[in-house]
Amino acid sequence: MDKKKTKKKISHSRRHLIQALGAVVFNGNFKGFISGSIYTGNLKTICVPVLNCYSCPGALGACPIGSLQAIAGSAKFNFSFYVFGLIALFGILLGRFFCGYLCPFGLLQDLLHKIPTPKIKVPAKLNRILSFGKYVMLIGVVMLLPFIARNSFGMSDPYFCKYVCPVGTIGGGIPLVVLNPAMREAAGSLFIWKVTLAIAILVLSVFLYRVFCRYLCPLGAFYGILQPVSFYRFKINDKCIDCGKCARICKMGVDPVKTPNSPECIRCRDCIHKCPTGAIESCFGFKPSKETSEEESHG
Amino acid sequence: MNGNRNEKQIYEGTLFRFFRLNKWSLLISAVAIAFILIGLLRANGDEVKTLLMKAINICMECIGIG
Repeated sequence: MDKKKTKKKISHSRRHLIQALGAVVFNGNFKGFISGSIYTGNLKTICVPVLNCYSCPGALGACPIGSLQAIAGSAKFNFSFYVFGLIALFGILLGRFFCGYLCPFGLLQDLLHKIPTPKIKVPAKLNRILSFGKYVMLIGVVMLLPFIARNSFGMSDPYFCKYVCPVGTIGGGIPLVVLNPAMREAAGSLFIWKVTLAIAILVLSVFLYRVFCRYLCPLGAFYGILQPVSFYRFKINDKCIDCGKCARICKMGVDPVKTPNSPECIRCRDCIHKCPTGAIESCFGFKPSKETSEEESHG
Repeated sequence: MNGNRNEKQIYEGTLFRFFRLNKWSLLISAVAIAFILIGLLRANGDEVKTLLMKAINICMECIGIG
């Protein structure tokens, strides 16, 4: 095995290790998995930067998308400044780095995609159209629907969590239904729908890389919108020889040379490791690339 | 004396370049922090209390039961 391949393998393993650590830290209430109950401490006032259902028995923090909907759907408030501000802060600091390095559901999809089967490559045009799905989820289902579809008490359901989110089903629904007899009795047609959808997403993830993150995740959409202006950025320096290796290795369908800070990039850094000349740099706001510095010094 | 002046100029130049390169990021960060503070102080902290009440009770809709 050559040096480059070994380096890439180490980088993958390191990323998966960080993802696994993230999953353990965000779901550190281990006794919940035995008792079939959830954590009820004050840490739940803090949103985690990833999609992690607060009804999961292990969850120590609140899910940002669940919280956004819960507060927007309450009788007292229409919008959560606190949660929106937190998500915006996460997004502006690191963009979709959270998707690539910390999201537990991202890890699950990454691992499923490692199953050796023929993989589906979505044509670029179709991929672009389907990618809008996550913006529809964010703007339509998470943010607008709670305003439009309110009941007579002025409250609304968390529509994304209720009808779409597979994280709640896998992290919260299934463990609680298995561990808690009362939940088992209450499970009905909605639960069947959500389990079916979650299974469909998981099966698709085997063939199609990160299908949920690419086409459905509202949090990924939010971070994606902020990614081009986030502090953590990728830059192409003058070493680029336009070989196209980075675009071919990218499983999210991004061409890093054209759009190094594309909203679709999950910052897995595969392109950085694949680049034969080290032309792709990552930086945290402070270190401008040679090109940028030169541009600036010239005018 | 001259060295100190050069260092100061370099420092000011770096700072200025940092602000110029990250003007949008800094502006959005400031807005995000302002939103967090508004949320924390709004209605005597009721927004965060509402979040806590939702998060510490099992959300039946989220898990596909309610």
